[in-house]
Amino acid sequence: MWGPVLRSGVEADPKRNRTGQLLRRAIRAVWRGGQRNAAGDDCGTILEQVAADLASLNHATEKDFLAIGGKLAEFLAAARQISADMAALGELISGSTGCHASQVLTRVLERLRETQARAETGDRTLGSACDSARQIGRTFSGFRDTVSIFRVLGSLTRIETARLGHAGAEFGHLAEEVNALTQSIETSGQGIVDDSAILHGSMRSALTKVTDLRAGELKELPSLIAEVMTSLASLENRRRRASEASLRQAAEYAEASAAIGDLITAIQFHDITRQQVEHVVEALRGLRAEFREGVRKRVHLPRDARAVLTLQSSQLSSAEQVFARSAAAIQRDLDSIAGRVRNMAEAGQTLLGFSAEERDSFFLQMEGRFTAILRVVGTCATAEAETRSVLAELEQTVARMQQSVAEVRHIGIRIHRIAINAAIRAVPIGDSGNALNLIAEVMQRLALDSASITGEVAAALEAIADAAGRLSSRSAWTVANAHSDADTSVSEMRAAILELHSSSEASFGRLNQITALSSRLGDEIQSVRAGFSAGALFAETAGRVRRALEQIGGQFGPAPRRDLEAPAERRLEDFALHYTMQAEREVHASVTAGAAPGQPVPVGTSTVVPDEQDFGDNVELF
Amino acid sequence: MTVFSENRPAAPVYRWEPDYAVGVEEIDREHQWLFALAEGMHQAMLAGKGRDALQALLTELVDYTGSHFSHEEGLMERSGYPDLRVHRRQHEDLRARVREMQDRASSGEVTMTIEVMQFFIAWLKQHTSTSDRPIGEHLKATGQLPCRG
Repeated sequence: MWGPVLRSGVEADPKRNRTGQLLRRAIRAVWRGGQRNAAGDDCGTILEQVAADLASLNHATEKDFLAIGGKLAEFLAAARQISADMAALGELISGSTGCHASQVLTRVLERLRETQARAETGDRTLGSACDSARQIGRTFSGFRDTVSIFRVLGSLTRIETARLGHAGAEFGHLAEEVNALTQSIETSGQGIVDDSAILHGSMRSALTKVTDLRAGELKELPSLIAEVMTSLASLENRRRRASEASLRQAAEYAEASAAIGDLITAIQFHDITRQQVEHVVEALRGLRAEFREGVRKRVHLPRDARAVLTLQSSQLSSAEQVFARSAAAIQRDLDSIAGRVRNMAEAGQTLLGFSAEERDSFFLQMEGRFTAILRVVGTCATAEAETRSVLAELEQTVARMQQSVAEVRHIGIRIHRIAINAAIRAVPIGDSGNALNLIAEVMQRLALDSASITGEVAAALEAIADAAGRLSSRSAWTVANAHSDADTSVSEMRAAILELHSSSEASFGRLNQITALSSRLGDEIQSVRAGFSAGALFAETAGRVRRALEQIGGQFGPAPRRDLEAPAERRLEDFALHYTMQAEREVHASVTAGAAPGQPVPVGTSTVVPDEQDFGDNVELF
Repeated sequence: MTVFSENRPAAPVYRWEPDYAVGVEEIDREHQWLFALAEGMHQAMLAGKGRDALQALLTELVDYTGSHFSHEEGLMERSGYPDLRVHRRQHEDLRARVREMQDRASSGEVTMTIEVMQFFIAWLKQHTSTSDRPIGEHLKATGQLPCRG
């Protein structure tokens, strides 16, 4: 991708070959002893081509460096993004979010253990209440026979009363009363039987639900939560190991960022070289104008042309040296950064101590467990709601049954009284009242049996009511505001698990981002490095141009002896030898190194080119 | 010469690369859109908001892959693509899997973003870099590559 960009411009420019041809033609003309003015004309054309070559070089390197700088800025942003991602990942798995995760799971576990305990108690309580309900049904199943016997006894009473005639007149209303009470007791008794069937059915259903819950989701729950806790602990252990590695990684990414920043500064330093080349182009075009003018007026070529060419050649030589060092440093830096980022990308792949496949599988398992916990929470919430509903229904049924039982007991007492009364009244009748006396005795016995049955049922109902009460009082969700408490609790558990899931998916995303960006960054830097050929391009073009300038300068004979030269020409030679934009670099170096203003480094006092790393980035200062 | 600005946004993680190009402009554009969908989901997950984006992603996937697959299958049919049956079955598998995920999400299962994302990315890379490439090659070889523009 970079190769074609960097090789564009001069190398691809057909004018370059044209320059060579013109140069060769001019040299041949001069060596053949051709007209000086004609040679000057050709030299002007060559100078123009050389200037165009240099301008084109400047344009190409400018474009390439801008592109490379832009790419480096992207790398810098990516390296910073990776550092930020690592910090965010550290926070997700170990910071307050990570600590919060295990607390949340512990809380959810406690809540679900409470649910499990409630389910166990409910299981036992409902089982016992269910037995009681079944017992009530069984107890009352024989009550129909008792009622029939009461009815028979009432009929016998009526028959016997009729047989006794006047003597039994007082028993007539007793028979009616027993009949009416029998009717009532039958109705109430039937109600108890029906209610006991309802009670038994609903309790069986609730019991089945609770048993299923315990046998199903609740049974899985402890191991499920244990698995999640183990995963979190494993993640925590890995994190501890990864923590140091990620700290080192973050530091290395910071160093890589700094190195990229330095590289961008070094590239900006190219501005000075570019300006230097621009000056050369300007000077050569000026000289070419003078050549043309000389040709037009048929006068001698400029006297100081040779000095000017030497000066520009020297400028180019200086620029070439600086550029070569700079380009070599850029290549070294790119190599170093690419190597470092590649190593970091490899380390990033296994940041948590497992491979990419293991990591994907780990996060997938975590997510599956979150889903399973949410399913259990949902099932528990449904089961709790159903239990609440059964308890409410059970309390209503028990209350209704208790009322029926009380009625039956009350009727039994009344029948018992009637029977005692009948027995007492039968005594004065003598032997004729024996039958009535017998009926009264049977009635008393039945009333006592009935009292016993209702007593048992009342005790069973009391036990059921007590069990329901205990179940209600144990369940925090069935006290006042039960529904809203239960909903809040379930919502809290759901919210906690969803929060953990969010944290988990963010960690997954961060790891993917770190891995992808690191890997891509390494590849792209490597690609930039592979395509970086600006140094070779500059050296090749500058060297060729310098050779052309020296050959043109050679047309004007050997360099004059210094002691015979005119002062102005000598000054120009000195200037050519000593003045380059090196002076600017030195001043720049002194400024960036903190030299006092107003104490510039004297021009020409040093020919040592400072390392480009010493320069700041404010090259526009010049 | 100012060569950079420090406030550049980070490059997307999931992006269509020229290496994935099938050679059919319209298909490539559709693939680019699928990568953009994946990147959108990735960004939502980074912010811990994957669940909010899940339904939209699955709906978009069902709709978009529907039209994208129809488009691909139409091209394969018209051009006499030899592996049409195999390719169509791959499309069917994906449709079925996405619908199954959509059903689960609709029934309240929301903690499945990692599963969806892993599946989507693996499928997308395989689909673009392996499965669809031969279509472009076939169209090119048979001189049936649709004209650009």
